Amino acid sequence: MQRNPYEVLGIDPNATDDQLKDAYKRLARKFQADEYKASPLSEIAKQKMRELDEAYDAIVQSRRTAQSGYGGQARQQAYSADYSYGGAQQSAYPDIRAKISANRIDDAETLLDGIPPNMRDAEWNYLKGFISQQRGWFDEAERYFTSACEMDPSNIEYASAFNRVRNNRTGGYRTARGRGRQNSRECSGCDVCSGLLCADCCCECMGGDCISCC
Amino acid sequence: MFGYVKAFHAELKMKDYDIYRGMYCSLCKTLGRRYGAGARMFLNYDLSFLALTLSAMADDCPGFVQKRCDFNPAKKCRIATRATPALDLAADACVALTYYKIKDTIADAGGKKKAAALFSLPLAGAAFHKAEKNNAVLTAKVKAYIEAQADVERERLASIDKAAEPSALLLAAVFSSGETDPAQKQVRERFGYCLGRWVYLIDACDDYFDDIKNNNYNPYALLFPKGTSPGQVREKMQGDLNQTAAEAALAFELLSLKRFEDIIENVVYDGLFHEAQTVLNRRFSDAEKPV
Repeated sequence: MQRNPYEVLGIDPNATDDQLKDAYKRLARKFQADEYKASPLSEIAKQKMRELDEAYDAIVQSRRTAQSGYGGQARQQAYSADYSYGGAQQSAYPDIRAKISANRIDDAETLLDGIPPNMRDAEWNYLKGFISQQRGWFDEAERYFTSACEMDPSNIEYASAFNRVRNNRTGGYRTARGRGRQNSRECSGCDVCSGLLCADCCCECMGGDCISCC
Repeated sequence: MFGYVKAFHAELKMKDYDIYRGMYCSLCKTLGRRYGAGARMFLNYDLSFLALTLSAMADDCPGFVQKRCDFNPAKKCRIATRATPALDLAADACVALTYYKIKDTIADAGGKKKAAALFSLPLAGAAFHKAEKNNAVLTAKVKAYIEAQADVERERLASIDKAAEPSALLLAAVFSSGETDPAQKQVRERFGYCLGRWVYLIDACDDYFDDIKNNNYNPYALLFPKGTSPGQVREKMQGDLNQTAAEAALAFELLSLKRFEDIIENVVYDGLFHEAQTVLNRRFSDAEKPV
């Protein structure tokens, strides 16, 4: 089922190249892979991203052939790159990870619970947190991610899961993905000083002076 | 547990506000049409948000016409030009939930609250009976949720996740009903799950001090017994609410919305956050003294 690429991007076929690029960027922010890392919706987000990439490429391609000399840039790779944290990691539980990625959460948990308490390391906690997150048990998830980070502070994978939860708990999600228009520009002490300096420069150009010492 | 999921008006455009109000008035009208004028007092914002979201995902959605409010003739309101499955479902859910809430109030509360609940029980009971005929699947789901919630309370579970699960699962089922595409169904379920969890949690936060006083079940009261510093309790509550709203926002980004995206964005990104702030500020302003 191939959808009209313009429909995927939500723009008019007569949109300018800039509008096309803006629409692509706006949608790409929505589906960023790393945001969905521990979410059960990660596959759907990836699928949406793929559709978006294909639609964008199709439009750029058709416009290139329609008018030679089109100077459009290929989409930014940063958005479509699949994030992999810290390269290939040596996992102590490859079979459990395989079950999780196959969406067999209950099986994975049974295997995890079968590991004796004295052998539960940082990765065990991380995987437990991952499963809780998938289920929507965010309170447990936070506790497991915290333990994973405490046991192995140097691991990037655990740290990124932990930081995402931390950020969400303090309300950081509201400015993610280009949302949250409410962050008004505040006027800080620096802004006042730099404004005055600018005014001074302008005055000096015109022969006057607003701050006499500089 | 009603009236927490609201738009943040300061950030809402006027044209969106008109639609938002219109959906509220249309649900009121639908309640009247399906369950009689008395049932219109069960109207609330949570269910009008359900109607709005379901309408946003539906294939078509009617426009609004301007009429006068039946209760306040000086006020004009916008009414949907015809009945829709979204509005009907929201009205059915509204009646079913209110009925159980009233029964719950009679069992738990005392004084004026109980008297008011007793007074409205016959009306709610009759409406619920009608809802069972209109939408037996939905009322069965609501019944299952009430029973699961009662189990949680009987066992006095200290886990926040498990305490919130029944209402989360109920909204997951309600939001995803009728969707055939498996991927979209999963997104809708997640959205409903997070929203239901959020509603349960904010209700628990709102009732925290009362429940401690009356020794009622509340997962936060078990976690933070009498004497915990209010700052610590508040930080935990705020974190839990935000974390849940953040996951709802992630699911929202993947919803296939055909219209009203700005309004739903406003509710999910700003409305939930500000409502949580409002509730916590209200409850904790005079609680700087230890509990």
